[in-house]
Amino acid sequence: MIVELRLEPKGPIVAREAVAPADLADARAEAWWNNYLRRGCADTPLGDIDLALRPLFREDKCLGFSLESRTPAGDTVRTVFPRTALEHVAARTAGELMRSGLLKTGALYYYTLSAEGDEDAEPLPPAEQSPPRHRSLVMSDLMDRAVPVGDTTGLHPVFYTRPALAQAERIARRGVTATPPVETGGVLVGALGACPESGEMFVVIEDVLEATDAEGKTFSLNYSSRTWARLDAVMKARQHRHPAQRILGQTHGHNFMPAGEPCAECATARVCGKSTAFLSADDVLWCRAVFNAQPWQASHVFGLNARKENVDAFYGQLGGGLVRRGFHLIDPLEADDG
Amino acid sequence: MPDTLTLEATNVTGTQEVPVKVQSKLPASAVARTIASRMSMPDNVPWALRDDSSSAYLEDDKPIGDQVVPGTRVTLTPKTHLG
Repeated sequence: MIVELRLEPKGPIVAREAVAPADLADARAEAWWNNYLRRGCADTPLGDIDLALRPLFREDKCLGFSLESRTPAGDTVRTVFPRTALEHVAARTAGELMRSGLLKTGALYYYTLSAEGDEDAEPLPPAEQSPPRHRSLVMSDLMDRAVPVGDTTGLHPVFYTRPALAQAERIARRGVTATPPVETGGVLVGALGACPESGEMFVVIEDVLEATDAEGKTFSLNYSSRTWARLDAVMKARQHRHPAQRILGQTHGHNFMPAGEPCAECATARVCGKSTAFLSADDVLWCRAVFNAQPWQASHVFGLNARKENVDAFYGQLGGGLVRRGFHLIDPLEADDG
Repeated sequence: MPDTLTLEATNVTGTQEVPVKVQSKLPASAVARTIASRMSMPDNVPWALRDDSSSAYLEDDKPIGDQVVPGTRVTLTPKTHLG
């Protein structure tokens, strides 16, 4: 498959870049997660799956692709990915154009997909990834005592304990008190659960570790070597006692006001939609680097709306990208859970 | 300094662990890119290596053989920031 860049929606193609197997790492892991790990095959290594890529067309336009495989039972399973699953390839190509001076920094560009040949599925080269360590937990027990927050329809379950949520917000908003306010944050910690009854796998966020010694500025948060070293030491100590414990995602605060003037409807609108609670392009790139091929990843951004009210946005991976989604709030797990 | 070095490399979340054999004269930045490629990591991210024993970043431009001994565990770390 090829990603094609244009400077105008119907203008000439200014750059073409072939999609490399590494560009599909997140999509490949998501297909593994959806069709194997979450379907009662929690111990299947990624390398055991023969995945094939099939471009998807509508009226000669390539709108995305599917990753397909054949299960041991002989069924064909597939996960469909929209064009946006390859947005990072377009961004990389645009970056090269910007460095060469052919595209102004920050300028708009447009991308489309094309695929040569026919619509046959093309086998992908094998990729190695061990199945993730997990904890056996009966999901219905968690669901019975969970409160949904936001839309979770059709997505893998994410359980978030109340103390962890409070800790995430406390850490993310800590930078509000600085002058000027700065970004602060940390990592979401917990385990992947595997249900012995349903075969479903899910995420349980139980704690947040603050990114200490990080460089927080008004519009950025940079983990230092000491930040990573501390997180590594804490996680190794925890994994010694609880091997399934892992870093599941990140949280941070956009502790600044939305740009521009308030909307004309500000006084009458029921909900303010102008907010800083979103994943920026830098956030998405950071998450792609840190949580590469970890489709269970989660991100929680805390910010402010134009009315100076606290707002937040929770994200998970879907269709090869990070999308806003909901979660289930629960009390902390008991020692005998699972 | 031996001609080649064998290192144990992991990513920051510990989900990947690969042994790598590299030429000692290569700058650490080139070794980081090689490891990132082996791990199918995004190639539009600047990568650095951290020595697990000292936690310090290796110096990008210096030969890796001048900075670590054979068998050292290093962590592939993105040098990018949240925004």
